[in-house]
Amino acid sequence: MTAAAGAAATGVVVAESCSKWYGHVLGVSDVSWTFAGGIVGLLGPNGAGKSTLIKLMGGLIRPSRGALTVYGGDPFVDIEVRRRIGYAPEHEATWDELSALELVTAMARLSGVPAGRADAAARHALAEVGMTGAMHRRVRGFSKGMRQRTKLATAIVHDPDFLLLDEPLTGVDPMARIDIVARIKQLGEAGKTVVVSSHVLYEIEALTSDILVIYRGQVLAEGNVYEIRTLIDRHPHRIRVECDRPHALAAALAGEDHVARISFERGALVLETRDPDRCYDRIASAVLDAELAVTALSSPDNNLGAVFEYLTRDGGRR
Amino acid sequence: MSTGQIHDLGYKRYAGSRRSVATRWRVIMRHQIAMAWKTWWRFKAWLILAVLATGITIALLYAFSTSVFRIFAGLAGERPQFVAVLLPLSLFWYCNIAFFASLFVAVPAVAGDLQSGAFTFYFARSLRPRDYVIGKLAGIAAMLSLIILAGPLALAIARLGLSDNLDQVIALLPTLPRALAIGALGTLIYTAVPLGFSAVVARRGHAIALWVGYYVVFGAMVNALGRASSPLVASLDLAESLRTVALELYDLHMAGRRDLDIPVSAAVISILGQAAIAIGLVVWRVRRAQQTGVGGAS
Amino acid sequence: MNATPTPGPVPAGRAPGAGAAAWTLAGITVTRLFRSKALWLCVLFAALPVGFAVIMHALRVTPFYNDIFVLWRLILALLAAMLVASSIGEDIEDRTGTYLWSRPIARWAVLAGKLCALSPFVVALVVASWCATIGVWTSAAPSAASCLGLAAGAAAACMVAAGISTLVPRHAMALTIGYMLVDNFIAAWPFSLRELMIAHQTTALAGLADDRAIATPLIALAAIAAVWVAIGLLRIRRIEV
Repeated sequence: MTAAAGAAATGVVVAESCSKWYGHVLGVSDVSWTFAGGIVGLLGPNGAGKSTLIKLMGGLIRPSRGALTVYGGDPFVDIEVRRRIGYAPEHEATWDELSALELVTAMARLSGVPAGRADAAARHALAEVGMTGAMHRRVRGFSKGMRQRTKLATAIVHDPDFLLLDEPLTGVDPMARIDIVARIKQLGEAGKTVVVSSHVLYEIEALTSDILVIYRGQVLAEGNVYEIRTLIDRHPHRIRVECDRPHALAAALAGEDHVARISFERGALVLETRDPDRCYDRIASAVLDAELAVTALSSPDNNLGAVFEYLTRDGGRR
Repeated sequence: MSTGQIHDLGYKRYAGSRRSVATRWRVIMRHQIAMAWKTWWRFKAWLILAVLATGITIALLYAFSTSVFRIFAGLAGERPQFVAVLLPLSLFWYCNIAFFASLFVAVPAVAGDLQSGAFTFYFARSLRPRDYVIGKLAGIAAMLSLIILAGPLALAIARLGLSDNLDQVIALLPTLPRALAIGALGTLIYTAVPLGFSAVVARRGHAIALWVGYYVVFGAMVNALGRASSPLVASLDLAESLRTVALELYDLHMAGRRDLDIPVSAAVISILGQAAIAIGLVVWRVRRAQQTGVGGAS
Repeated sequence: MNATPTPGPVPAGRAPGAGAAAWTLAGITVTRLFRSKALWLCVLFAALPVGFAVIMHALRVTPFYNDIFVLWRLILALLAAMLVASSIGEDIEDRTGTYLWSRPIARWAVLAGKLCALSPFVVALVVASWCATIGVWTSAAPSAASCLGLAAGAAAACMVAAGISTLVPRHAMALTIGYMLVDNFIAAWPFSLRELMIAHQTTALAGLADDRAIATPLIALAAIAAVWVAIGLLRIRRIEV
């Protein structure tokens, strides 16, 4: 079976009981994870093991125990696997003596872009990240945001199938952030497989709803953020209803067995339920029966922040 | 927009006891020692080499002092002459070990901080430039003195211990302050001068190259120039100057050095002068870093 | 973001061959070298003996080749450590090596590229410094054998530096200097152990030792260099960044 066929059968990334230690320090521990493709957000606090997992996928380090394959091959030894990978590290260090164009051109050539086309590829990649105006300047004088964009250009310059972006939005100004997020989404829509890490929750939320939560070197949760939320059945789901008479709505819902707690905020009622679907149905009928004027209905728990907060609370014990 | 206000987010200013400003150099010193102690290459390897050199020299001192050796050597109970030479000659090993240790401990001290931008961290706190300089010097000197001061001192003590009688012990007692003086000068050389080079450039690699270039290449050149012209020129060679002081204090005059008769006073002045210039460079660099950085020292 | 019209993405073809990768890396390394202070520091160290020679010439001192040759054995050690050991070590220590390790290139090509780029500079600086110094001092050119000896010694020192930098990247420069100083020290011993020392073989090749043969020191230097290159090539395959 070829590497590509193997990948199709098993996923782009397959980690089996993969662990990595740096001496006595744990990087990742016993990670088993299969990633079929698309865009996935690697989420976790600082030091959780996100960068270690990305480096394992990029072939920069090897697992201390277990195995990790990308497109069916070992990225640490298999050059053909690394050819399909584009990696942007989290650190700022680059070869500062070079200009952005020289750096990205060199990376293109080292990635297999023919020498005659490397310059064009580099110019295209730099344009994609909005660095055309500064491409002849040396990296030494770049701001953090410009460095991030240049790193992104080095990752995409050879049009890889699989992008590993380690905290690509750190230090980037808000306008550039929007641009980069849009660009990463485009890459995903174009069929590229993208792994983006961050410890900033809303950055990941803006990119994808598929997440892999890493905490203390272990996979704490994986999948769609909403699916993960529904799996946390022991944790009540909050629903906030803003209406003209919250107390009337509370009276209508107070007897329901799935409602665990009712509280009031200014002009709003906050329900905690163990069965969100039933609760939404009951709210709708109560609003109609009592002829309430609802101005807003939201679920504070249906965002990544709430999921992450819950999953990592008390050291990840659920 | 509402008027400005400060929200209480639960942060409480540390209200416990604080270390006196005058003793903050100790924090820098301890940090310097702790960092050097972390890995084998930085200090432990060189310390072990120094201990080995001391052990071997003491073993030789003992072996040459035994009556069995004297009988076999046909010395009829006389102590061989080279026992007296072992102490000053062992300085060659201590100098080389201290030089290697200085490459790992002293040279990266300031250059590493400049390279990593640690000055911002230091001077965002109530740390004065002199605390930084004294702390660095004290930390490095404490480590290097274990090599170049403690080693010769241990040998001098061993030499006393291996004396034949009390009269000999009394006669050899001045060896102790002499070993201390040589060790102190050696510590000054291998602490202050590399630290000066460390302050000149902001990259560890360049600082190492400058120190090696100065100590080894420049040293060899002024040594050769000294032989061809005036011995005063050769006093710029730090290793040669220290050797001159050591041989003078141990009252040892070697035949091969007749062509390079550096005056002891010139050797001492050269060592002290170069160390003073180096410390001046560190002070200048640190003050400059504080003024151009975040400042805030009080 | 696409303000300037540019051609479309250029997909990579096959992974570059090791030779092409080494060539590209050599180009980058040379460009970086010319823009860094390290080269000028090296030029300074190489120029120091010329100033020394000017004074010696003025003092009308007769050159004592054997003694002053030691100076160039030290200079070649310093330059090899500064350029080769620090270049490889810094890529690993500063983590810029991540850009290389994530690329589809054979890891040994990194070592080959750096060595190809930097060794000629070390050799050229050492030999130029020797020729200039002797020229200024004696108004005559040094012997071809002495130039060959220094060139071969400098090349071997570069290989040693490369090997050490893969073993202990963080302290590569200091350890290379340490190794070469010990090498110089042992080379002065009147024992056969000195045959394993670069300094001794360099001196022998330069025609300044008892044994004036050329083939033996050349083979010995090649063997020492080969051992260290082999260590470097084996080690770099296992290095993680």
